[in-house]
Amino acid sequence: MRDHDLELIAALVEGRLEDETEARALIASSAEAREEYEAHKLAYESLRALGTAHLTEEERAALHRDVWTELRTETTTKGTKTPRYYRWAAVAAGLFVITGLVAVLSGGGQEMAESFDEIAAELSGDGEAGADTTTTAAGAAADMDSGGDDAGGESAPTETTEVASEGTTTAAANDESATFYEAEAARVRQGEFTARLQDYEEEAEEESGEVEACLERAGLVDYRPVATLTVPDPGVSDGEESLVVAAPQQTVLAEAPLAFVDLDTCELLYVDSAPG
Amino acid sequence: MTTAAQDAELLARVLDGDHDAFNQIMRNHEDRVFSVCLRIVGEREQALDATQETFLTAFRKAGQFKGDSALGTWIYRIAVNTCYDQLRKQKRRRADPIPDHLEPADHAAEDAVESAGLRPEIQRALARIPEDFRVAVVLSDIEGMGLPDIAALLGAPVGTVKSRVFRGRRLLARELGNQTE
Repeated sequence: MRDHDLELIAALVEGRLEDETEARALIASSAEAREEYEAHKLAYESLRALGTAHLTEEERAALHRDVWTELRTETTTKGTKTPRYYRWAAVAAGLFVITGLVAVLSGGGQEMAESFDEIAAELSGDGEAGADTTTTAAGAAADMDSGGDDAGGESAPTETTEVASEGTTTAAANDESATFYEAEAARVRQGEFTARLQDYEEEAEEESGEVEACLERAGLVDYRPVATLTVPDPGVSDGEESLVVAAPQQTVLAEAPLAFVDLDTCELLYVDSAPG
Repeated sequence: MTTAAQDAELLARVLDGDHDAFNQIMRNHEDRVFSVCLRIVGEREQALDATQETFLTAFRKAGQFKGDSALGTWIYRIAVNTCYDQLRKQKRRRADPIPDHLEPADHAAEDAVESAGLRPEIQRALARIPEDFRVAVVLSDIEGMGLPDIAALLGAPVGTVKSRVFRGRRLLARELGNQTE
């Protein structure tokens, strides 16, 4: 059928023709045209019958409320976004745990711990603050590696043990971003997912291989992804970045420590220790 | 519908941090955004999520709006893209947009569908045609948008949009015919 004929039929169905003679003649003269007309008419009239849908007043109120809640949360998050040095410090924390273990096994613990402080300070570029954040993250990582207790710190160098015992709580008091991660961790544990925080099982099953590889790169072996989290990326205008939230295998989610890992870089950003 | 001048003024106020201005933009467009989303994704809850995500994106990207098209067109473009994302998630879950248990005998379900503004048999047929054709017929035949506006919204040539509308109608008619057989 020619384009002109199709357009004529569509215009007839839509009631746009002032003079319908040509279109009616076409339909009368051709079975194909008649079939086309019937199909267009059925579809068009069915769709018109559906009509424009409207929000209920409750839905409208909820929409406005939820949009502003989300935007306020983002504003807060944006303002307290984890600085870059914190991320490097978290990586250094992972290295610290590993080197600490090596040190314990080789009997050179004290020396290793001092070396780590130097590395952490250098990586952070911010002396004392960087070291604080790093060691706190290391403490949390040690806490997770030991399944929630401090067993991993028992045989570690003295300095490491002291830092590990402080856990994430100290960081939370000093860094508002910790408050953000804690809130998201609490949501994950309670199964309260949002547009930003999504259940991993439901939302990311196709990328499971990549995500698990990322967790391994972050040093989180034997962890399972439990949620994904989208946060604004301070490095990119209007950009966003995705994090994965992971818990140790064979733990009850409500009681598990939770790790936040950047999916782009596979960096461990934060560890929220197990409740209680 | 707002004029371009009103849109520009509202957007300027949004960029200055005026939350009331963004509320006004939402009020101007929320019903139509929701309607488009509902017809495309087929489920009220998902349409509400898509509507929310649309306005969040619009707020985040307000500074990027250049005024090349009407504000409404820009917002509906965001809405359609958001709906495409929702549909991709639906595919992952391998769930039908309209569950098959919504039979006429199920009065409670039928009432819920009716109150949601859905005609189950039409919505079900609509859900079965490919996304690009569905979007085209929704914008054209439900929302009453002209082909040039749809083309601008989708970033596609008018001829392509026209072809999608025509083919979409044919496919929809076939699906509706199959349901009555």
